[in-house]
Parts: sequence; structure tokens; C-alpha cells
Amino acid sequence: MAYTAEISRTNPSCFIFLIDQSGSMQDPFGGGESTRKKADAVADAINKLLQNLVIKCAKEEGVRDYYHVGVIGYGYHVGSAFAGALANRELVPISDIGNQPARIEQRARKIDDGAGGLVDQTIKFPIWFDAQANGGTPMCAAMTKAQSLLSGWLAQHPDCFPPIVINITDGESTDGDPTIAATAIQSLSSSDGNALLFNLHLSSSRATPVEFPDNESGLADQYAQQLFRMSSTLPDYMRSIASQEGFTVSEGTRGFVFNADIVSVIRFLDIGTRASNLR
Amino acid sequence: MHVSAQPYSVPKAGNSEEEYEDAYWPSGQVEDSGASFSFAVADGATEASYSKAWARILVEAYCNGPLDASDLTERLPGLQAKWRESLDTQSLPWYAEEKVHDGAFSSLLGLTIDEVVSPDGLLRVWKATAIGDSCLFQVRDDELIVSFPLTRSEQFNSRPTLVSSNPASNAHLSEHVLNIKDHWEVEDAFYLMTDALACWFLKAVEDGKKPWKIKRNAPEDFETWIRRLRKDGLIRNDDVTLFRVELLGDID
Repeated sequence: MAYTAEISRTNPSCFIFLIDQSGSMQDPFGGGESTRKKADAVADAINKLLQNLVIKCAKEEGVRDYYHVGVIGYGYHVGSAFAGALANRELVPISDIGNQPARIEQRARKIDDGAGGLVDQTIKFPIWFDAQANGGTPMCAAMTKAQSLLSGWLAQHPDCFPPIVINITDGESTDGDPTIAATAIQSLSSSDGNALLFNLHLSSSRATPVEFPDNESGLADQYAQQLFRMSSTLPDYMRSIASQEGFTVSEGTRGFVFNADIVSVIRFLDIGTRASNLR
Repeated sequence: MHVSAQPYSVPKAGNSEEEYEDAYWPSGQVEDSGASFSFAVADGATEASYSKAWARILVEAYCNGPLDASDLTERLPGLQAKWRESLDTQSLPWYAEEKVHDGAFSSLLGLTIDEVVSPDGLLRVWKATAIGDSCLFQVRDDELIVSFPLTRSEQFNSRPTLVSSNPASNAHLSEHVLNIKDHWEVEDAFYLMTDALACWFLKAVEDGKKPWKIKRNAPEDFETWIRRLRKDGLIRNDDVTLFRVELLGDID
């Protein structure tokens, strides 16, 4: 059965994030009066994804290397988009990501005090990636780069849990139809199944946010529909966890999110027991 | 009554002994006579940090005093404080701070067996408390008569509700604390198991087998047996803990 390989330090899996850094990312996010740029929404999304992945793999003794992770930016250039000490590195063990953010900011958050109230807390907020918006949207070139990295990874890890690629974009490729390159990624496989491609579409449109849909009928525009069609269906195990996490899912549910939070996808990964009351 | 009990444990394949995150109490074999005995197993959640310490605190707490639904709320703050005091939180990296904030999570299964003198004679009773997916099985005359709290192998998944060292995550805990009471007879046996072995056990029962005929072996043979189950794909790779408790009546 596919997608059942154990993710462990001896048999790690792989994540690649593709980050749209094109000039159009300077436009406002989500339409309306918002002054927040799409590029800032992208930077937040990728930093939160990396944070959550590191936290998922962290134990008291440090971060366990369950994953190797690449962050590929595409805009004026196509290549590694890590800032700071990891600059120019392609596939990086998750422990290096945990221990080498470009910087750590302090942010305030409100937390449940366990007695029905909220209290302020200052937390460390690591940053690996800064907002950028410059040049075209060479999505095909980015996907081809991911395919090349994954081919090398799979040659060395033929029995791994299949790699996952998450593409974060405002939708419009400028170097051709990305569907072909997307299919090429999805046709790569380990002995445990095909690589998965998920898409996060961050748009200037005011259309209603959508999380993990099973059809394209309610999607805002042709780019959202194309990204939906390019997205892999959730494998059984992820669908089962997504359902336990409260998402409405069907056999056609795809790894596609429009103008919403994709960090929940990290919760769909299974590296061992996770309490249902941990949020 | 006379009790003969033996704990067994094996860490997840690929992990070291130090990375074993289940817990059991008492800490070793029990061969004793008395009127009351308690046993507990717990399974610290992989995805949290410091779960091993939390699981250990819970099993000890269960065996050192009542810890059922009614007194859990009262005793948890003290246990949570004990967990926090056990951590060295000086100069932690950012991700470890997050893990401490999230708290540790663990299942808990506790069994108390009593022999009570009453006007009607000697009452042989037991009670158990469960949070999460660690299970208790009672076997009499070569038949499984109680399976608690889960009764079918398909009920296991990787997202149980567990007891947390973080009060904010226990808001609805009382709905997930299950209690049971029943009687025991001389020569009954109880098996307390964490989830991977419990799931295998129930699957075997569903297949018409009698998995309680687990060989009464020395602990090193238990490890070999678990390795074989893993190799044959019959059990999920996870920490495994078993406490076998046999009731032998009075031995003069």
C-alpha cells in the first residue's frame, strides 16, 4: 500500500517549497482595503511552514532529521531562497533549519491561561525568508528545478515516504503552461508512492478563501482552477488525519488552498502519536 | 490475594533505550500477597517533547493514590507543576521553548485490584481508569472477558485524546476519562498494554486467536518476539509496553 513508509532518521523524507517572488507579489493581498502585500503573505506562510515542520521534528535532545527541506524562490532568479547562514543551500536537514534561521524576532501572542482567560506572551519567531518581489513568474523553471532535486533525492532514498512539493504563488506563470512540469514532479516516485504537489494560491481577489476543495467549481479564476488541477489528491492517510482535524474531505480532495492558511498540512504528516487535543 | 506481575518493554525500532517514551509502574516484577495492588502503563506522545517524564509522573501518581475521573482535576495541577520542575528550561533553543509551551502528552491506563472484607464475605473487585488508547484485557478460563477502553483493532489511530501537562489542552479532558469496575476471580489474568501491542492483541482476538497465551518468558525473549512481530508487519513500529498481572489467590 502506498504512503505507508515510516518517516524516521534512518529513512527520512523530503520537502520542497517553491516560492513565487515575482514583481506582481507587490500587489495587495486578498483585495479590498488591505495594504498587506502578497509578498509579505508569502514570507509569513513559508516561515510558518518551516517553523511548524521544525517543531514537529523537535524532541528534548534537539531536532530529529525526519526531513530534508529545500526552499526554491522564483522571480528574477530561480534558486535557493534561504536567507542568512543557509543561503544558496538546496536540500537542508531539518535540524540545520531549526538551528540556523537568518534571525530570530520577538513577537507577542495571546495564549490560553487554562482558566478561561488569555495572557500575553512574547515568543521567539525565527525567520529564514524575507519578502521579495522582482521579475517574472518562471513557475515552469521552478518546477523543473524541484524535479531535478527530487530525482537526486529519490536515487539516494528509493524507499522513502514520497516527497512533498508545496508551491506558493499568485497564480500566473510567465514561462509557459506549468501543468506539464507539475505532472513531471507527480510522476516521480519512491517504492512507497508518487511525489505529491500541493499549491497555495495567494491572490489579490476578494473571493472567499478555500481550503482543500474536491472540485474547482467555486474557485475564483482560471489560475486558481489551473492550480487546483495541478494539485495532487490527498493520499488516504492524509485524508484520514484531515478528517480527524475537522476538515470536510472526500476521495477527490486535493492539496490546494486559496487565500487561506496552508500550515495545517504539516499537521497531516504522521511521524508518530500526536494528541488530538494539541493545537 | 497473591499477585504475580511482570512488566515488559521494548523501545521503537531505530530508537535508543533513552528514547523509550512509555512508562509503567511499579518499576519491576511484583511477587507479593496483600489486599490491594495498583498497576499503570502510559504512552508519552511522540510529537511532544518531555513526554517520557510526563508518562512516568502519571503512572507513579496513579499507583500512589487514586487518580480516577473525580480526583484527576484536583491532582493534575500538582502533577503538572512536578513536570515543569523536572525540566531544565535555561537557554533553550526557540523550538524547545515552543515544545515546553505546548506541553507533554500521554495516555494513562491504571488498574487497582482489591480484596475487601465485607459482612457478605470476601469481595474481589477491580477498577480501572483510562485516558487515550492504552488498553486493559481481563482473561478468565482461557477467554477474554473484558477489553477496556477500546474493543476493536480498527479503533486505534494516531490522534488519541491524551492527558497534557499543559492545562490549556485539558479543557475537555473529563469527557475522555473512562472508568470501569468489575469483579475478579482467582486465576484471572490482566494485561495492560500500550497501543501498538493492544492493537495487535485485539486483531488476533478478531482472527479467532488467543493472544494472551503470550509466552511466560524472560524479558529478553519478549524483545525477540516483538522484533519478529515487527519484521512480519504484524505490529506497528512503536514503543511497546506490557504489564502482565496474574491473581493466584492466597498462598500460605
